[in-house]
Amino acid sequence: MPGVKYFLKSLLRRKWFLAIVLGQISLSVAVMSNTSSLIWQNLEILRRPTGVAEMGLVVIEQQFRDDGGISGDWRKLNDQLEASRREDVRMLRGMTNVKSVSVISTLPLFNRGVSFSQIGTRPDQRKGLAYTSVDYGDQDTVKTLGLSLISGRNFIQGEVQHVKIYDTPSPSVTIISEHLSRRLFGEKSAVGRSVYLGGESRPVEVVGVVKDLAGSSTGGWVSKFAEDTLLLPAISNRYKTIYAVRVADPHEGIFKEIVMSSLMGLNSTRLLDLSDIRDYSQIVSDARRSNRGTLYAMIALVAALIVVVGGGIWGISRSLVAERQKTFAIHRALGATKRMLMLSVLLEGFVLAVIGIAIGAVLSEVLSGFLLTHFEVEHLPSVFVFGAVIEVLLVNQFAILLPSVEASRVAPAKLLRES
Amino acid sequence: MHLQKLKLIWYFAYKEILLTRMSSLLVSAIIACGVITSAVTIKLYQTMSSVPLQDANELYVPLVDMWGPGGWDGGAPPPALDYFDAISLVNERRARGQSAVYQIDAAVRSIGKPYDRHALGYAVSHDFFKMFNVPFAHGSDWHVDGGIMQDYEVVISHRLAMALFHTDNSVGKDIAVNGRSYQIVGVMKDWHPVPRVFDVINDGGFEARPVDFFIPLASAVAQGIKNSGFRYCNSKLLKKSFENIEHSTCIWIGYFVKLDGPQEYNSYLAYLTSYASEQQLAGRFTWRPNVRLLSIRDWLKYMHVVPNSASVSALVSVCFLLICVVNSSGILMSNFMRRERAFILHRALGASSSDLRAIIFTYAFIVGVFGALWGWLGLESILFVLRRELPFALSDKMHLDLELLLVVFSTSVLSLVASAVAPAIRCSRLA
Repeated sequence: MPGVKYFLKSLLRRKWFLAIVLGQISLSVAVMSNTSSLIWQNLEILRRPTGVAEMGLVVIEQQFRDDGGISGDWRKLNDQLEASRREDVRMLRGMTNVKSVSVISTLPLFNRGVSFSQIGTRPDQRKGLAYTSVDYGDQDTVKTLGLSLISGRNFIQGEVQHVKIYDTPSPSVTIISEHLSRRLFGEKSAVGRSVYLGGESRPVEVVGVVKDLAGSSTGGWVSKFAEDTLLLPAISNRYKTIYAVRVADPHEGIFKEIVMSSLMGLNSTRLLDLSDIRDYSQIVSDARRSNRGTLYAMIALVAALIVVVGGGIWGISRSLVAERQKTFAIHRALGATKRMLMLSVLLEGFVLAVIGIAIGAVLSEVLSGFLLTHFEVEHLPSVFVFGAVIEVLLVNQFAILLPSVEASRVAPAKLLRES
Repeated sequence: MHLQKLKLIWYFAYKEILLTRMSSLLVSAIIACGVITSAVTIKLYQTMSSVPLQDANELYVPLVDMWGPGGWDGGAPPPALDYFDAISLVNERRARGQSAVYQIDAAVRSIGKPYDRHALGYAVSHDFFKMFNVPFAHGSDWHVDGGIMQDYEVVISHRLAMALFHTDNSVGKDIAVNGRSYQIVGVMKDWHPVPRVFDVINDGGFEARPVDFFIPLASAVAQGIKNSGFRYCNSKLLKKSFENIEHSTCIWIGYFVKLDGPQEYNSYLAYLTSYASEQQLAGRFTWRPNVRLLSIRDWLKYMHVVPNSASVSALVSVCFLLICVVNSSGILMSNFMRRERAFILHRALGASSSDLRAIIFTYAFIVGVFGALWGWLGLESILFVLRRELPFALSDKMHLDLELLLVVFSTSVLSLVASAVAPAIRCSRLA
């Protein structure tokens, strides 16, 4: 194909354009691969289930007042806190719109009351411990949160430990997430086996496994074991007590106001504001705000990139074609078919793109290596580089499609007219 | 003569813009796109990774391994101190300044009022205020270190003072913290360090709730106020009540020291090691000393305060800006190529090749100014959206200040001038 050789030669004469196209394509590969990996990471986080039936769950975060007078006598304080809590729960259970109520220490993605522990499968294990997020709840937690139990059973009444103020709970049974179960016991059933928490020698028996239960912390250094969670049956007498309430009709408008006034009616000295009574779906949405933000920003960046790069390549190849109309006309006069002209322009673009992409792949590796050493960002998986290569190639070929058609339309008669 | 020439250059540059209206507009918009994305992501990254303190270089975080091998990830010491070690280190006062810090979620009220309000505070040592440059509007920090005397004194925020007393200067008044009366000795000015370097362990450094008060560590402990945030235990607690936390190896106290220069750093590191060996001798530790002394910057890195996405997107946007520059260079190139004849005419009529270059660069400068205007408008609107979407602590910092505006302006102009380099060289070769 002598035509191809000719085009390559003519291209080399236009060094500036060559540099511009190559520069654009290679940088786009680097940008595209890194943004795609960010998009994928955030999608992954957003799609990760909490395990909770989010609609119709209301969370009340309230705090009993510390009465200076009795904080010296911890027994009296303990009894008072316990009585207040029982009274609250009884009242909430009695409300018409309420299906079930549970006292909890934290919730998936709640970011408060975050607690975690070492976990092992042998007593006094010191090496090779896994970490796990810990939630405390009662026998109604599974039902109230709407967790799906895939094997074993729920907690029973007698198993729920009532923990005095300042004491640390030490329940003897637990419900764990499937993720943790797989991590500790592989494919074998976890039900009936024992785990050991915090390097202690006291066994905690696994009675149930739930499909999903996300950890309470969303970010930072605990996100490594975000899905390795366990639920322990214990209610502590604390100032700050959190109630999860499953409602029958999530759309009842003034439910929160009614809850607020009823709770204040029972005990007006507590710390409770209308903003402390929240829909769980709102909590989840707030917790994932920054992930969503990054996702949208990166999608917008990719869109802008496609428009800018595609438009740029289109513009350049159009002017290249326009400039060479005479040459094309000669080619046509000498017997080249329309198809041949179109293909040669497309091929020219393809060859350029391949060179650019080769540079770009190296560049994105360099970029990723830079991020790795200076910012401790994980290494870019090569699947994203590959994906970016395909994307950029597609954008490039689409951008030169129209100019190539234009090139094929040049009529041999053009020569006559020009001269 | 000289002025005449300048005028001519301006005139022709202006003419060029008029003749290539659409593509000039396009070029300025493309550059603005690149500048906006880079400005936003870099501003975000810069805010998240900054250390909002005057003498950040003098602050260090000592870590001591009280759990032994296998206790924490990868053999590193746990990221906070237990009560025993924190108090021992505070009391031995071997650094230029030292403070233990723990978070408190308390109920406060002004004495005599029946209702409490929620307040977020910290129990700290006396040196804390100087180490972290806490600005005071009225009064000052407490005078005697709580480590020795138990003074029920409190420093409150401007916000809390206004909420409780409707006046800024409430020094000398009393408030009840969890039911115990504390005397106000100082009122802070608005102080929202981002990230909250002294408490990155609880909410990743971007805690939304502002700080309302500081009380002496010793008073907080004496009153039995538990920490509200992070507490991590590797063994069961031994005794009932608050005391059991004091006597446990649970970690829940942040610890900071102020050291000046490498000599003090080395001697403090040696002191930490000898402290750990003493504990080994005393039988508390059954392992060799394992200590760290991290600078505050390394500490923020160690705790992964800046999320990956922030740094990746900043770098990626800079690459995007480069693409935009290369791209507009291509557009300008084909523009000026179409205008080749006009340039040849200029040359024939006596313009030197440097004059042609001047025209092109002037053109680029004017378009760059337009790009900067786009960029400014775009940035204002994006920041407006971001301020509503980001957590409070960050959104507070996302303002278009003069510095950022200057950066936007100069990057935009520079980018356009850069993209005009190739066309300028080409056109000046015309004869």
